[in-house]
Amino acid sequence: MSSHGRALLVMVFTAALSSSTAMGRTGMGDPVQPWRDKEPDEWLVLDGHLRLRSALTSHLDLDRPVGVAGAGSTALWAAGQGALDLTYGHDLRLRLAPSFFIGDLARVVVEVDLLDNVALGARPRFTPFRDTTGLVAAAPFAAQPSLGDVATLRTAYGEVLLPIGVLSAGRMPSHFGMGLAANDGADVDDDLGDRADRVAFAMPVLGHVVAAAFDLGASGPRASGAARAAGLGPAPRLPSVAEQSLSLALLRFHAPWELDMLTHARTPEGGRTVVDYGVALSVEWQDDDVPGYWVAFDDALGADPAAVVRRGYRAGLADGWLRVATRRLRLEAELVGAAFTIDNASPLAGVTLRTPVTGLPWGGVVTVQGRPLQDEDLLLLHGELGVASSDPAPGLPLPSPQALSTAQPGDVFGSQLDGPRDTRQDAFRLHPLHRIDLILWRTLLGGVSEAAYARAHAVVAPAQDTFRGLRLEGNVVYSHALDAASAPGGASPLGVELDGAVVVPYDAFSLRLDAGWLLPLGGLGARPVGTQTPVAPTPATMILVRLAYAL
Amino acid sequence: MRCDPVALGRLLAGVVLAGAAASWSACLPTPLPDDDEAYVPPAPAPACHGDNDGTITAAELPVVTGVVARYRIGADVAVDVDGSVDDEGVVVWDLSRPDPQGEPVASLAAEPMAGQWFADLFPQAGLAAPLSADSAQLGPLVIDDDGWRLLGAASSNANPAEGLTRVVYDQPTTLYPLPLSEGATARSTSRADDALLLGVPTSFVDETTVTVVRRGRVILPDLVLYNTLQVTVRLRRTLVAGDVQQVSHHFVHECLGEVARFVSPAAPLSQPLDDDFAVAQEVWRLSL
Repeated sequence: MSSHGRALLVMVFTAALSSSTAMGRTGMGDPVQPWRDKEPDEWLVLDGHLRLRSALTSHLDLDRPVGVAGAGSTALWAAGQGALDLTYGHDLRLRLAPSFFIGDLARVVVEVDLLDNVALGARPRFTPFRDTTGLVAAAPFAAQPSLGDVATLRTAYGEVLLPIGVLSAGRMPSHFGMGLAANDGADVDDDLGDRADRVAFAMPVLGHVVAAAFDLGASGPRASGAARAAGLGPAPRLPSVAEQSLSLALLRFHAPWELDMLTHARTPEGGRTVVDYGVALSVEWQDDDVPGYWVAFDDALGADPAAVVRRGYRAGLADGWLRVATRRLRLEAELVGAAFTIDNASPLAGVTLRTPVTGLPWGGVVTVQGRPLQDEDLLLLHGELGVASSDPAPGLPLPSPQALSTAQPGDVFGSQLDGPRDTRQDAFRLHPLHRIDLILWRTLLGGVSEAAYARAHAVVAPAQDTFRGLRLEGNVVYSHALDAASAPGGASPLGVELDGAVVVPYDAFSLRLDAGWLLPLGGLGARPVGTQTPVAPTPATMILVRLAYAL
Repeated sequence: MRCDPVALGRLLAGVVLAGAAASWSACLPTPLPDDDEAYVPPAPAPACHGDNDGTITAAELPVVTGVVARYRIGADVAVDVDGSVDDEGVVVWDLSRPDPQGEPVASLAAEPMAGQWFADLFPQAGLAAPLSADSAQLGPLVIDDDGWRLLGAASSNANPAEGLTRVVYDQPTTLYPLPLSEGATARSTSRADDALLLGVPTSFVDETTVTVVRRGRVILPDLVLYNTLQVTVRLRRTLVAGDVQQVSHHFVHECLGEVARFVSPAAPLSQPLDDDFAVAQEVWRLSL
């Protein structure tokens, strides 16, 4: 296999199941960039950034009451101060992502977050005061007490180019398509992002890449207190307790630079229509669980058969992605659906829920981008439609399944289950990192869920000759709940949001200023009781400033 | 069609007004359905991490006021107090039959002592738990690492139509000796002077014997529970005039508390009353 062939293989494989470099908020990025960027004898390529953010918000709680009938028990946002209901916050992240190249055929990728979204000013000198109290006024210096509190290892995996394919193993980013189901959060403006403990193999077949991956999602406690010393080899664990998945992907993919080269008139191959597509199928299972282990990671429970519950979890997921690109137009779509059953959804050892929990959540997005002007870089118009399936239970699904009941009309979030009366969970949430706005879904609700939306987005790059990269963005989104009775306010219209942004890059530095205004509609209000007069929720405003220094 | 500027203006104004009205209505939430039950702010579920070892410690039997448990209450139901034994030697109580779907539901919750009309009578009590399925009578409790102790009884309402109940024991009655495990037992003798039972003045002595007799598997319509304890409570009450006895079997599970109950018919002390009665006066079954 030629080195170009290997590079291409790596590129498409990693695009199929993972990605480790910065990418746009929609569409796959260029995961092979480190291979391409490195010099022939270079063994270390450093990626990463330092990011500072400041946010200022006004009325982000929409002035919804809390703890009364029709409004639920959870505040949408912290109560602010003053007539404008202001809150603010600042944070800092230092991300280091070195790639260590070992010869021409292997590399090890590491990604570490130091000061992972640490709040600025969180630890003035001499604090915490522990057994006493004191003043922080005039505190001269702020510092974290130790690195142990601030480092997060996000990624550690290796990959080797074999004659027939690429073998990867370790903790690696997980991403597919537009990132509706799996999103690696590689953008500088992203937070969190999906990681998988995975062994994967990919090989080229007739211009496509076929990839297979085995993931270990949750391994559970050690199986027993083995007599031998800890640290000698993998600790024994119970296979039935492991949450595992097997994925297959078939993909045809071009990196952004390739897409540009093939579709753009300035290149020799210009003017082509490029069709990319992919499909991923995944099955996931867990026979048993040790729910008590997840409370505090108590390995002693691994030796206790009484701590094990029969789980009987089975899930299948299908994800399809399509992109058609010409010089001026790009159509991209993704549709994802899952079917699952949990025979026993009990979170307690010694308790079996007799009615299985099942669900069929699904979601999809279609986006069209066009460059209508002669100067193609000057204006980008972008339209998008998206939908995430609904469930009739009150509220949007909880971010994690920590409750099996108690949702009431008016709740913003709630369990979609209700004991034996409602054992279906059909609500889908588009990945929170598939961002369509600044306030409603990104900041308040954690990703589009149980709703459809229509979005118009424009990007203007007014001074490419003198200030390349400078761009202005405008964005308008209308969101509509699929099931009015399930929406917090009992009505389908959720809101209209207007956003604007300015992006100012300067060499390795970039500044991004976002401003958003949300007009919440009835679906986000507090539901009146009886003869109470309905009250419209209060419009919210947010400003977000981000400074980034790329490494 | 001829263009009429005035009509066109009216039409446009109508469209704008209709749009504005539609927009305004879209801004407003809709009222809660009329048939919605009164809003009850959900109480935070008690933090409990059971180990399913057949022993229930105080930490595995938390009580939080306001957390509602639903029970189906059946009357005059045939019961198998001893249960059956499966192939592995585990005692099994199949309480999934008869189907309790048609039985009335009791929603029960422990209540804080603060604000209760009888709070001053029981200064040591930490909370009050329902003693009857209709919550008409509450039992002030002291709960600590050693057990649950009943200090007496009181009507939940200060002026009940059926007559006031007010019972203050001279010594607490132990209901659950903690930790609960097979063989655990407690005997209590509690005297109540100047008591009121449904408005009738009386005095009496309650002799209570509590024993954890078995552990096994309880099958409920919604749940299967392993290592559940059967706690048998025998109450002998001697009144100024007359006496009475009653046996109840409480099935207690870690973190969930009482999941089922068999209550025998009451009988005079002079008559035999076996633990393994065949027909329960009342059967409680936890219902999700």
